[in-house]
Amino acid sequence: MGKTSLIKQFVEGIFSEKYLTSIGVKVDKKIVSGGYTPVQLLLWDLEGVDRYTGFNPRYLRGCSGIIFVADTSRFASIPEVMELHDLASEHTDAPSILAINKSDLAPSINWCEDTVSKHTACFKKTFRTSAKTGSQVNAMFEAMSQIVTME
Amino acid sequence: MHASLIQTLGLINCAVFQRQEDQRFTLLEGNHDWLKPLFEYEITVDTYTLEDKSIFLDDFMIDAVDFWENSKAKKSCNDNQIKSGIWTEITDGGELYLEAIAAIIDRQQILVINNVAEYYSQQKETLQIARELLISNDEIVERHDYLSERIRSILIETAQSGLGLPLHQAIKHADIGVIITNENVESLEINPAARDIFDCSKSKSEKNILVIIESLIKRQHHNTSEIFNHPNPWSGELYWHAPPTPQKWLKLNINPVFNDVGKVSYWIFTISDITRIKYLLQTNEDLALHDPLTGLPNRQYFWQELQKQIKKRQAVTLLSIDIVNFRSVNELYGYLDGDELLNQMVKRTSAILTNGDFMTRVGADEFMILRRRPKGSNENEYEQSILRLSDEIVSMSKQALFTKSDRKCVLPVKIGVSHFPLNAINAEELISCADLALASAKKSMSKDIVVYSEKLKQASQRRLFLENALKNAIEQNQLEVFLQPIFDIESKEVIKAEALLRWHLNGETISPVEFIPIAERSDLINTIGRWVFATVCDIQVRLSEQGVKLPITVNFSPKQIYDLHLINFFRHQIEEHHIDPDLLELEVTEGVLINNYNKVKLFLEEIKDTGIHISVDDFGTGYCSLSYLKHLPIDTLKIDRSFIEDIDDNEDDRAIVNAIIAMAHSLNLSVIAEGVETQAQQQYLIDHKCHIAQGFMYGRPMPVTDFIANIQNNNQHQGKH
Ligand SMILES: Nc1nc2c(ncn2[C@@H]2O[C@H](COP(=O)(O)OP(=O)(O)O)[C@@H](O)[C@H]2O)c(=O)[nH]1
Ligand SMILES: [Mg+2]
Repeated sequence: MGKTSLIKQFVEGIFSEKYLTSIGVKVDKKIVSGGYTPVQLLLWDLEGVDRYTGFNPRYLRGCSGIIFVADTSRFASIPEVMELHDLASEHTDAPSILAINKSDLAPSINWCEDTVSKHTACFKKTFRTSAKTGSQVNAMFEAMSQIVTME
Repeated sequence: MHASLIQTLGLINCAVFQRQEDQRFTLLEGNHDWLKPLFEYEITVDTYTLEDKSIFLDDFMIDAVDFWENSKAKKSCNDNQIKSGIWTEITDGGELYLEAIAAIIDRQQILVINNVAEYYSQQKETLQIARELLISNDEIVERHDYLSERIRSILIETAQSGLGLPLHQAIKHADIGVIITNENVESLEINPAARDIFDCSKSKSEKNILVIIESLIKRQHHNTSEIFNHPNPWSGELYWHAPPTPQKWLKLNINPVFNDVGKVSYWIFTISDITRIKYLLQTNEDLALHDPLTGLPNRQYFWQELQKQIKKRQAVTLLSIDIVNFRSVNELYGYLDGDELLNQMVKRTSAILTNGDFMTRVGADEFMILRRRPKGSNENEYEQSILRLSDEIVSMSKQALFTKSDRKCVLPVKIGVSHFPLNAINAEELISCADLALASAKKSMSKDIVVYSEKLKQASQRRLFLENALKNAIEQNQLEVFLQPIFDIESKEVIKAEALLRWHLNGETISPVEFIPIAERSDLINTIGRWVFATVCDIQVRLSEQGVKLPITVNFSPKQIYDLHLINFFRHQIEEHHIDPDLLELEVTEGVLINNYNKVKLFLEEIKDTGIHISVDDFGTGYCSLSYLKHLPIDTLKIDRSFIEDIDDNEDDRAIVNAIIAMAHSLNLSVIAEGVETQAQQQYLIDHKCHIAQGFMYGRPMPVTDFIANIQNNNQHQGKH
């Protein structure tokens, strides 16, 4: 999906093609000073939820916002994200953003924009990001910092 | 204690902290170098706060503190720890891979920080491959879809001119096999990749490939007519084995192409060889979803499987299995042997499972077996089969196993059983029912297998209710000390009394047999134990005001040994009440003596120093030997009531009673028979030189006021004679 890549692009300005799976949680910090007052974001990069690793609601406690990451090149990532969104909303009211990542790639042949737009209402905002080119990455994290300071 | 905790959790490279009352922490164990950068090299100080060292840890601490401070109130008794999950901590010494565990052990609040570097890298390696495979699987799906779509659009564009050059070029160099057929599924085009997959040289009939595919679908999925008569896209995996070609796993997509009037004009088959992915996926799945020690499915896998069954509304039965006292096996034989024994135990058990049973290792020495109830099976027969399975597992577990060094060991198990949907509506509930049944089996002396029932749940609810109510029992004056006379048969005088606790709750009188075990599970036993002692001191004051001088014995719970300042409390009470410690006696059970010899010996000696006497209660039920008793400062043995009960017609019991009396005489201890109810029993005791007795014959436990009245009566009576 590109969760780790998005954070890396945002915090360090680096992108790597090589896929390195995440294990557990890694916390990064970055100060965002786009708004009136600088906000320190504590970014929790979670291991993806799949057949090998379950969903752990403990990580949601105390969170101020959630970024759900989907993948342009894999339409199945949309229903997957929605399932996670529903799971998460059982545990937190934190506002969320949808990042449809890998916007540098051609969309999946199955991509269905109508379905996507049906779901975007569940999120405060939706961004088409690319961790590779950096497109919309800062914009998305800045939007997140604004959303969490407003809440 | 920590050693055993660490053993139980299988932790090696960890730091163990104890949380103090001031909420600071002391490091009990594991002053590792890797800790230092995390704690900014503060590790030399005695106590420190763990705040602000790690964002992740700070967050976990909120849960941990809640767990430490409130877990007593929580229902579940097997939740004695919570885990943070793995996290990566970036320090100036590099990345650390850690997991935190909050636990309560021996009533102490313990935080473990576990360095899981090894597990992390192993897990990372396994999951890296597994997830890469998932990704490549997704990519293949995507490529099939892409190619089909491309072919479809070419076919539609060139509908008038028939199959031509553009199409040919599009599929010639594709690395996915393509077959295009007409509406009757007769092959029109086959690309080289498709030929390669089926190992066909050009000469082989193209029709042949389609025949193979159709027959594979027919055998492994369903009737092909269902696919071709209802023109929907179809996709699936096929297993193809035609020696000498090595076996292959194939991914096949079939897509219809419709003409202007909505009729199928072509079928597009796309095929790829996924053998490698399939194989790697399988081996990795084995690694990711199995317990490395026993090879059994792990908790995660089990959970998935259980949920799958429940989602299908499949009736299942869960056996929750626990090895009795496995901890001590590890302590006795060491880890490697412990592991070896576990492995043998698993092998032995798996051998009696039937196809479709699912066994998993959920904890160090905890296992679960999931059995599906066969469709249409007779309920009775099915239940019998479950009982047979449980019985077999239990009886097999009592047969000895041998370590590599040929040391003999027995790993007896206890089993709790629950049924879905009979007992539970979801997976969590089903597991907790099985665990509740298991807990009850573990507590029972006689039963190894307990099947969950409503009654069990009610009993556990009652326990919880009582546990809560007990907290306020003292404050609300619900506890009362009764006295039961201990009688000298020869002089016909009451020479002692035993203090027995009663709990009056909403008009019901609850027996200590029921509530003392509940109190023992928490700190309450200490409070209650102290309260009883103080109350008995009060009673002594009352008695002496009446001119009665009579020793009173107080029961002592094994758990009170851990009440550190208990002896000081005793001394203080004795002084405050100005009573003669000669008039006080503690009754300890035989079990206490055996389990903790050294600690108990010290403790009893300290008690003796205060002047309080000591008797051994329920004697004969444990296995105390003469030589053992000789070195303990004991005054009296009390023969357990169960031996007296059957003394008239059970020869073994008579032999035991005689032996105890002889033992007492030879050690110069006095001996008391408990539970004497009949003339015959009394006569037997007189004949065998035991003349002190307690039992309904001489008086039931009664309120102190009645007791005093009785004694005064009795004394007057005696005086008259
Ligand atoms: N082309 C492209 N690839 C990306 C992008 N973001 C991530 N990737 C790649 O996708 C793979 C998974 O990325 P990762 O950040 O590890 O995903 P995570 O599992 O969600 O954390 C890696 O191989 C990345 O290089 C993107 O925006 N564009
Ligand atoms: Mg990641």
